Amino acid sequence: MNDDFLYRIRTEPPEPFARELKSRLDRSQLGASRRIRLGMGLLMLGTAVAFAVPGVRNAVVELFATRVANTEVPPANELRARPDKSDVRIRVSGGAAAASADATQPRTDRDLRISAQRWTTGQRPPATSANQIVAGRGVAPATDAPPPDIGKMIRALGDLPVGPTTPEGAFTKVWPLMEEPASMDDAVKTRLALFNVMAWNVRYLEYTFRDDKTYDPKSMQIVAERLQQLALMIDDAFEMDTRKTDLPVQARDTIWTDRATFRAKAMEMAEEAETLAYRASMREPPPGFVARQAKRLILTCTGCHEIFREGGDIGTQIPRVPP
Amino acid sequence: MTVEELTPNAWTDHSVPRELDWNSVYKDQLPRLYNYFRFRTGRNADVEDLTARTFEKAWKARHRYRRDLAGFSTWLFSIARNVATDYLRSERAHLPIDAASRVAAESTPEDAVAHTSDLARLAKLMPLLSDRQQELVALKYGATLNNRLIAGITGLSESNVGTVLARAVEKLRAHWERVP
Repeated sequence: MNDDFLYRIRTEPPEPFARELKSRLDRSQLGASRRIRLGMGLLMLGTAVAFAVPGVRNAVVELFATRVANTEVPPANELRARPDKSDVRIRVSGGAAAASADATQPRTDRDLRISAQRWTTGQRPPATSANQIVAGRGVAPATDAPPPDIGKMIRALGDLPVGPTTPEGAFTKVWPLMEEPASMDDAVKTRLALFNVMAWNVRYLEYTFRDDKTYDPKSMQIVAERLQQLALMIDDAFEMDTRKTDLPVQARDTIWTDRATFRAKAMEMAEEAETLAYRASMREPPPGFVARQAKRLILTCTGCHEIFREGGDIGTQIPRVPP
Repeated sequence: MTVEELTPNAWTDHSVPRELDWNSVYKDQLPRLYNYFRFRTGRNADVEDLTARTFEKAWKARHRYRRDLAGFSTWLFSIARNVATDYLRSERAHLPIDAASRVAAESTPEDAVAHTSDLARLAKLMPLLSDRQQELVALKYGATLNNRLIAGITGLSESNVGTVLARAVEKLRAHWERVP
């Protein structure tokens, strides 16, 4: 194939162009390296300044907490639409870091013990990673009271069979040590009473945010802590299978057939309440920080009602969240 | 020393040196790229800019170059082809390819000088070839790549590259002397 005529067209690039381009590439190589070094230096300097000055540090942490922790909860119908119960996950707020656990696994004693211990000893609840960071960086909760001596309290009540010897054990293994309700009807009445008390407390949230009443952080914290503890009782309240009761109940059979999801929902509510209590305890929470969490908490109520209650939700008022 | 010599058997041999000698790469690839763009565009204008753009893109993306997947020439000319495609597309937006021959045929002082060169002659003949033939001619005679590398860059088989090139050269040669 005679193709010399094509090879003849080739030519060498102009020398000035070759030199200039090479020089430009070399400069870009050095420039990139310098920029990286400069960027790293500035980053380290900024970090040092931010965490050396308390005001700056708290501002950064609160900003981070606002951005990260205030994620919106999916609406109740989305919660209901989860296709597979194995997809439902709950947070187990134990240890130094909040971990995840499969909701299909039964709630362990450790989960309850840790949660109860944190509440009873006044520890800040690390229900979310952002909370952990905030708590760890010194945005202190309002409560400075020393942790109560649970063991002493229990002894004062007498020799009640409260289970394991550790104080926090008072909140574990409750059901097996409790006197069982005499009948199915008693069990139904007991749990209805529990839900009445819960609704009574939830109404405080609705009332506070619905009509823009004066926000009282201390009351909010108390209510949230109550709801946390009440939510932890839900599982026990449904321990007896009352599907055959003659009383008019709205509990769906799925409470007992899909126990893992039901437990997960109850735990979810307890944790959201725990987080709300913490946020309410903050001295200067960012705007909307508490209200958004209250909304999340109430959404856990409605989400559970949609799944496990005949007729769905009972008209829980979801508070309007201020901007 | 070429890049392919620096990275022997780059298609199959994974035991190539870890670091490329960029000075050697530049020295070897610059004339190839420069002439590739001359063949693709059929003129000297903008060739320097296109060559520089390709090198800069390659330099910025050098961390993405994986020598276990392809030789360096293959990688570099993949970038060059994209640069050329973008350039030609933008050119066509202003001037249809069919109009190029008519414009070139008009006699202006600049054209009169350009027509004397082989490059201008090639530019007038390239529209006779298909896009694929033009691409292969530029890679073969502009970048002086062998058929094996061209096959790697274009995704054609080696024998197909040879066949397409033979037909393209035959067509160009048939018209070469007839073009003023």
